[in-house]
Amino acid sequence: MHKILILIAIPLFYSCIREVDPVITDISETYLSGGGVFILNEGNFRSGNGSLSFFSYDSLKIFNHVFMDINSRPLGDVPYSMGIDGSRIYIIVNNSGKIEVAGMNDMRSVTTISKIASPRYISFIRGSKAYVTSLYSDSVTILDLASNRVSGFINLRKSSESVVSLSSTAYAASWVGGNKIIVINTINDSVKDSIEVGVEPESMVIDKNETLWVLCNGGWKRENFAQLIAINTKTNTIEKRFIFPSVTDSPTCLQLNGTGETLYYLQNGVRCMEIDASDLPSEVFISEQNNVFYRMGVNPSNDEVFVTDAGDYVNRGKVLRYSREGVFIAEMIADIIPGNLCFKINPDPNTQ
Amino acid sequence: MHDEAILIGEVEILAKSERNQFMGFKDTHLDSSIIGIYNQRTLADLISKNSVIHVKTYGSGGLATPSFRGTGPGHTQIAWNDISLNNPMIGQFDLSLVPAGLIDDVNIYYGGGSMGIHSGGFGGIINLETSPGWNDTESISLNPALGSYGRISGLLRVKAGSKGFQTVTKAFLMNSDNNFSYINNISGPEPLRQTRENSEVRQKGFIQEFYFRNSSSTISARIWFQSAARNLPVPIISQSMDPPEKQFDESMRAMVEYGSVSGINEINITGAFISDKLNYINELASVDSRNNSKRIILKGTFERILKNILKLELSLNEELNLINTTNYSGLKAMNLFSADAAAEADITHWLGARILVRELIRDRRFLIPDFSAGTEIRPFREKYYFIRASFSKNSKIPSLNDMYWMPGGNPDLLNETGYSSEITWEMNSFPSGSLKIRNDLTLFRNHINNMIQWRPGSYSYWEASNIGNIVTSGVETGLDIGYSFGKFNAGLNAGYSYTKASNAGMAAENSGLSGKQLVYVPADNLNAILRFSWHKFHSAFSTGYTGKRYLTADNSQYLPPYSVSDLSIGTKLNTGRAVFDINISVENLFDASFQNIAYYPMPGRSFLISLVLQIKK
Repeated sequence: MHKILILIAIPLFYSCIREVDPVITDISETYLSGGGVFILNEGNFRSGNGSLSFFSYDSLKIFNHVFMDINSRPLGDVPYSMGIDGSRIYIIVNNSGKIEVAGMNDMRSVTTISKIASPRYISFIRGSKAYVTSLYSDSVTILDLASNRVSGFINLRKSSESVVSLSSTAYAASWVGGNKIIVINTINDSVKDSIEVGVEPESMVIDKNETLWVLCNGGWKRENFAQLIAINTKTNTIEKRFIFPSVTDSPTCLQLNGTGETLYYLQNGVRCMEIDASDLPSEVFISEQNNVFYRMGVNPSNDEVFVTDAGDYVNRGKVLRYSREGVFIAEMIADIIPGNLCFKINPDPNTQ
Repeated sequence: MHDEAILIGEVEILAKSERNQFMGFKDTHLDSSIIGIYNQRTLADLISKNSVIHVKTYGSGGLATPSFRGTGPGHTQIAWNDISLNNPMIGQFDLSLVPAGLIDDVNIYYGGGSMGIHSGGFGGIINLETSPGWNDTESISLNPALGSYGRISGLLRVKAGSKGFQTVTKAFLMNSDNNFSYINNISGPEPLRQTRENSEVRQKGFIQEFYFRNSSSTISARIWFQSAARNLPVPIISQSMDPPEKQFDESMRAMVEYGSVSGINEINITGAFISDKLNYINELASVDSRNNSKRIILKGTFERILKNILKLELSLNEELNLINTTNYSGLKAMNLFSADAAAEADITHWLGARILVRELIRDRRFLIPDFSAGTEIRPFREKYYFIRASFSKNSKIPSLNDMYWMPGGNPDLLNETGYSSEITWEMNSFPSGSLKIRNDLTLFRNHINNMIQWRPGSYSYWEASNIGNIVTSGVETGLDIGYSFGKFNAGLNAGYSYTKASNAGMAAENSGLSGKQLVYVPADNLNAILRFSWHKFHSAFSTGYTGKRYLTADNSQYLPPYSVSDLSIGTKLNTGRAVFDINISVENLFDASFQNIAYYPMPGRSFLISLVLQIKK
């Protein structure tokens, strides 16, 4: 009988002494005061393991779990994109249906704007309000930035993804199964036009000539050719249309450099082209080599290129840093599925 | 002493023999006395609280899948009277859909022992058995229950017939709003008590069985229908959906079985038809996923016993799977045929052995044969002590979703292959006529090659491929004590497992994950149930401990361990032919706040009052 009790007791005792504290990343908040790059780690869908990382130009280090460590709570499920307005950052947490508002230099939570239907991107409209697109809702949500509350909705009659604004006009892309750019009058928050583009307009930028560039990836079924389209924002008409050569081409993540003269996107590596180019680039600017590029961003202050590699989408991914010439500089370990990037520009241009 | 033979009435032996079903392999048994405690609960509750099998559950009423010995849910087989119930599309079975009260016996076969029933159960197989119980020819049992969170349920059993014919009818109904309260500690700096919503569950079903027998043969016909409608709550860190996601499950299982014994020969022939329907609706995401699978199974077994020491078995198994779903490109079919040859022998009074060889043919493609070999040593002639050791190679056919899901399915997937080895020491002792003690200690190791995993592919979607290898190893120990003295009966059933499960191979080493515990595989799992009965009163107290479960492959995040205890107290009143059994049970007695899956909170303390009214002829 004693032997039997010992057999049971040993594993019980073993289970009690094996407790180990979780790994806590040692960070300080001071690094946030300088310039750098915020990295949204999406985490796994419905796993709640999304997080925010920050690469600091001051220390040339990456700091992970920034929001969690400072606010003692998880950021949420699929933090997808973010924007900076003045001294505040707005983190769009897609599958938590919320926007976390925090101080840009200390990451302390200011407020949480909740009950937003599947938010995707944010665009600030003349400093007083912002538009938030939605994957599921047919409306764009209007935020009042003074109170950080929802002040209204604009019914697009279709879901929306990328959103950019220029003067008194905003452009929202209808992505999933869509082929239109909805033109919004930002003075009275109403839809005033729509522009038919290619299938699934995924990302947009506005160049130095105020031309709207739309990257349509053709849809996941690969039944349509991807397109890069230039739209005159004064007439809202298409000026240029570049059609990708293969129906299997699936470009994503259109970006622009700081001067607004060079376009970048991902397609089997980073590709770039001048805004006045007559053809799509046939060569890659930065090859993937052993990586699988997921998202990218271009630092507007120095044109450095940051690319994320989500790896196997289960383990922690990487952020790769390249010079403006496309020369590899450094590789950093972020968190699970590092995705969109947001650059924090230091007022002193000599520091970055 | 008298020499003449005395004719006694038929006696039905309900207790499990000390000998295992498959010589050399570990098995355990949950008998009707334990199942009775969980009549109104699900198989997930029964299995998780009475075995060392870890059950992953998405909360009360949510998907619950078993995991043996660190392997995945797809590596665990669930069978009904030896016919696999795993859905061919996903390769898994949801334990939350079956009320334990529908089942008469549960036998659990570990590792290679599962191959005696079906292939693919690297961890093992849980065999749900329904049987006639020939001694109890006519009875009616009505078992209504009322519980917390708007739970109303009922179970009906009707048995009728004679010594040669039995009809058994079981029906159940369960509705629960499931709006339980929980502690939300992620929404802000201070924990909040909130109410979980959108967890509503509606279940109903029945089993109808007919049994015929004569002196040498039996024929049975069974049909099992069940359906469930439930809302799927999102993790608390995600935005709740309006309208909520919904899932409808409906299954129809029919089985005809013929068995005949003629001298040293025994033949069993089974034909089964299983239809599973699963519809998932997410209006917000415009998803209306409709999935229908149909399976036709024919199984024949021939056994011959030679000189009372050698049993030879030949078994043929034909299985046709037909899938009609909105998620594949057209109708898909898969045909599986297997031929088994097995021999089991008592070589000496202290040594026995079993060997099985299986050839699997998948859609006319012959696969490398599988095998299992086990030996049993009984070191002491007068004692029920056993040493069992086994080694096996087992194959799991890819699920049809792995092969044909659009996009990402890969029809060229290879089988997963598992090598399992284990050694068990089991002691059964009877210190006195009223005390019985059984305990065991098992060391096991599994190596699974060609693991199927979904990874990002060339385009923007994920694809299934044979990528990883995993190794699981560990220790299991169990202790069962039964004691009776007069009208006092007590029983203790306890089990503990330590499981180390990690990725293996070059890919794991290169990514730095070698040796890291697999996500959602607790190293430590402990459960115990203590039962008492005295005169008209009976009580059961169960407790379980589930260790830390890592959430990330690099083991940087984890869910803390938790311990949950349940208590039930009841009284049984006999009034002639009628028996009343009133029972009150408290689940999560100490109101522990815990999550089995991250951000899916489990209910706190809850109550259930049930009444069993049984009338016998």
